Amino acid sequence: MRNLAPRESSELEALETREWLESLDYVLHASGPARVGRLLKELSSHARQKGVQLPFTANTPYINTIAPEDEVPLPGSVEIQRRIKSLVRWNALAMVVRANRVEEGIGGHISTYASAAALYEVGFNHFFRARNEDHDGDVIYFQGHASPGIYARAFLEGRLSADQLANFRRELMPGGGLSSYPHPWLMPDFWEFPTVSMGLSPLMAIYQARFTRYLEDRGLKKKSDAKVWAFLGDGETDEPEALGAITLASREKLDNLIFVINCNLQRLDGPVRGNGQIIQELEAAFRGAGWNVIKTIWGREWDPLLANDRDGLLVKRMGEVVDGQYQKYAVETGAYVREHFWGVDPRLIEMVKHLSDDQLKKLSLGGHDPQKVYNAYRAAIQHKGAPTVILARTIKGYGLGESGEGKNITHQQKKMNEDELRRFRSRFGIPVADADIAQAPFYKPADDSPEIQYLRERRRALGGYLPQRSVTVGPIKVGGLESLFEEFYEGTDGRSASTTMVFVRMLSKLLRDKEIGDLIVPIVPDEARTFGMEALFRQVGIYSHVGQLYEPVDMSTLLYYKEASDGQILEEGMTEAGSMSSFIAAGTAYALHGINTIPFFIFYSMFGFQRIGDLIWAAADARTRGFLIGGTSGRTTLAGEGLQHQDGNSHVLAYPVPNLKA
Amino acid sequence: MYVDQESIFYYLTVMNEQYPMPHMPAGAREGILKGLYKFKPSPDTGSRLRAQLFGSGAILPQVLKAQELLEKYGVAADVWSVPSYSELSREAQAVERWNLLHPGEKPRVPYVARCLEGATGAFVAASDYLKALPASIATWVPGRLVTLGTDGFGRSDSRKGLRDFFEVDARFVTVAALSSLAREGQLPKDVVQKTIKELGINPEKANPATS
Repeated sequence: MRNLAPRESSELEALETREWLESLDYVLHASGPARVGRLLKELSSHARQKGVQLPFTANTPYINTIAPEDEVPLPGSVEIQRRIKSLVRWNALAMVVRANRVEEGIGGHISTYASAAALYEVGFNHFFRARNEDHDGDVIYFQGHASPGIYARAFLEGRLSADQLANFRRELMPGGGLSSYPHPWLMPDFWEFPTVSMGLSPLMAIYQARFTRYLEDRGLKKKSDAKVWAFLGDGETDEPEALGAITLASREKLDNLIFVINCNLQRLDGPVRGNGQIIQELEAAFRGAGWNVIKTIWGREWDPLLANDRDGLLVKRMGEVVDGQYQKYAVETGAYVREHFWGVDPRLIEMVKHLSDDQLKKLSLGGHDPQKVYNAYRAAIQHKGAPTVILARTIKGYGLGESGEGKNITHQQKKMNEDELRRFRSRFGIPVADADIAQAPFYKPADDSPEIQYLRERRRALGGYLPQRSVTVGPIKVGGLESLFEEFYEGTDGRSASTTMVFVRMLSKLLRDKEIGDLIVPIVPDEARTFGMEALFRQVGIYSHVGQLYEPVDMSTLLYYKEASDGQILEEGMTEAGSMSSFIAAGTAYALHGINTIPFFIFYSMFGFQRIGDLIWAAADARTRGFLIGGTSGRTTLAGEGLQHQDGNSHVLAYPVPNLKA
Repeated sequence: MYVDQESIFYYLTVMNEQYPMPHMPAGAREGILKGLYKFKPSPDTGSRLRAQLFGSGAILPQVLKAQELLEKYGVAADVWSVPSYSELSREAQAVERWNLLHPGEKPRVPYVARCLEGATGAFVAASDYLKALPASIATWVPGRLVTLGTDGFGRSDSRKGLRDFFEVDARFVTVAALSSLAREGQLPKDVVQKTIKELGINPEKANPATS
């Protein structure tokens, strides 16, 4: 082979690539995507046989998962939905700005909701179903830092007053205020789930989705197509709890679970992955774990550009720019973007020569484009057999203009001067007069305005307003319990027993009780044998959605390891955090499902409060009911196990939890 | 919780030490729920030297043993079972708060103080948990409360060894009661010293809280 000049070689390679792509397009056109898939598999297998090493990658290109031709248009009036979203944006902003004027340092966050507005509005207008007599309702874990936006929407819906909004983060004011974040303890008619200890809400959402299945499989609740939605931040996924249980969701095929990760590429201090791409990192993690991953990176303005990207140059460029640089583009001018993003290759420059600098700057992102978001959600609710995660790219502080978009200080931003307010007002078309702008007044259109009419009509169609927490179930019946406990009042009559053994006997009797036996939910983190509970395996079975697909090794024994789809025990494996999340799901089912399930979470006492104290705090906030049972407790009573196991702490650690009786 | 629809939950600890479980003493129900009840009063009502011993869980049998040991030293000890220090402490805090804000009204008395009204002698609480736990009720105990607990890093060993190491067994409860009485001048100090020796306690042993 003759030596080619580098330029000549690269041109030849481009030509060769184009030929291959054209062939592929031909097959795709003639025989469809399934045929292309098989062909690629053949090619990859052939290459391997010839000794080509193909490194594993769980990633797809840095473009939207859903092709434009597979999209449907956003239903309803796009313009009215945009106006509603603008009104929510304005009121959310005004709430935080005003709160900080009245009380310096009261805090609050503008930028999280600003980046997530479309993600929520599309949900509220088209997807989130409220609980009512006809439907279980979807379960929504709102990202805590977006709470101003959720309050602002409830204001437009007429569920919160302007006075309440004015008292955001001032709960001690006369008449009450709004809590900083979602706290069922503080707003028990509104918030259902505490979500601001970062990382706990994705974990709790996974176990919530699984517990719903458990209730259905055990016949305690009708089957339903209700979904569990968890809205997270990309920075939040650094918490180990956030991703720690994602394989459980795919293993259990929880297609009733949807994560929406708002990838604004920023955490509190700076970029989430300045030198990498958080969306690609999360895609690989979730795909590797078996989730359905939908990337919603680019807005519609990018579709024609990508359609013309015949040599894959733009896709390649999109994939090689790191997040820190993308953040820089977000704060820069169109000219800068043209020079630095497009300017690396004359062919790329050529692709956008018809666009002005201003148009270049305004090429929107997927997470801000309601149609892209709508289609992602639509695909997510239709997906079967696996949970879905939507990775939606946004700009932190979107709409805040130069004062806040994409800056490293954006997360902390809570103040705006008059000029900034005026610009924001004009950009989003809020009818507030210049003379009033300094006061940052809340604005709500008249009841008969198209915005309010549309918003109400949509919520009516989706079953009502949310978030909303209500307790509709009555008390349990405990008629037979006194006689159940009688034998325990008598003591053991000189025979030796441990309190653990006595407890297990009590639990076993409770499980047999006619009135409440079915409601008991025993939860163990792989410690049932430690506590002598293995008899319960046989008595009530271990829950498994698919039942038992194998012959258990101890089948011939009386107390064999019995798994069943109507099994009652949640044998969670070695995860106290997961078990506690099940405990919270079961202990709040009285409010969420109107079912009085009574969880008993039995754990090694040293690995309870010490290990998952924050989840226990969240359980308390969520008004969880149930019994935490710390086994092998007592620092000198647990012999032999030593320093890490011997618990002399947990009762002291339990003391601060105000509604926990220890 | 599920009948009155309260927003509460429970934490109960259970142990793996086996010993005969007593029957529930008559009239103890309220005390069990509130966190304190007299489990076994001393049969000796005439003795000048008295002690009030508090125990819970698997340490309660140690306290009962100490009750017997103390009898040999002429101390009549009542044994109290404490299912929940935190419930006692929270109730007492709530009562004190009410008293603070209602100076003109007749002060209310916390449950723990009502239980212990008129109790005299040494007050010793032994716990398998940090000393801070029994110390949370000290304010309402009508005397100086000596707390024995398991502050420090655990060790792999037998229960007997561990209770010696952490100084929470019947011997330490006994010495703590005698020492408290000696401090009050009710007993000569050399009795305590003699007892330490008799019970085989090494006074120079390492401090479990820091070793």
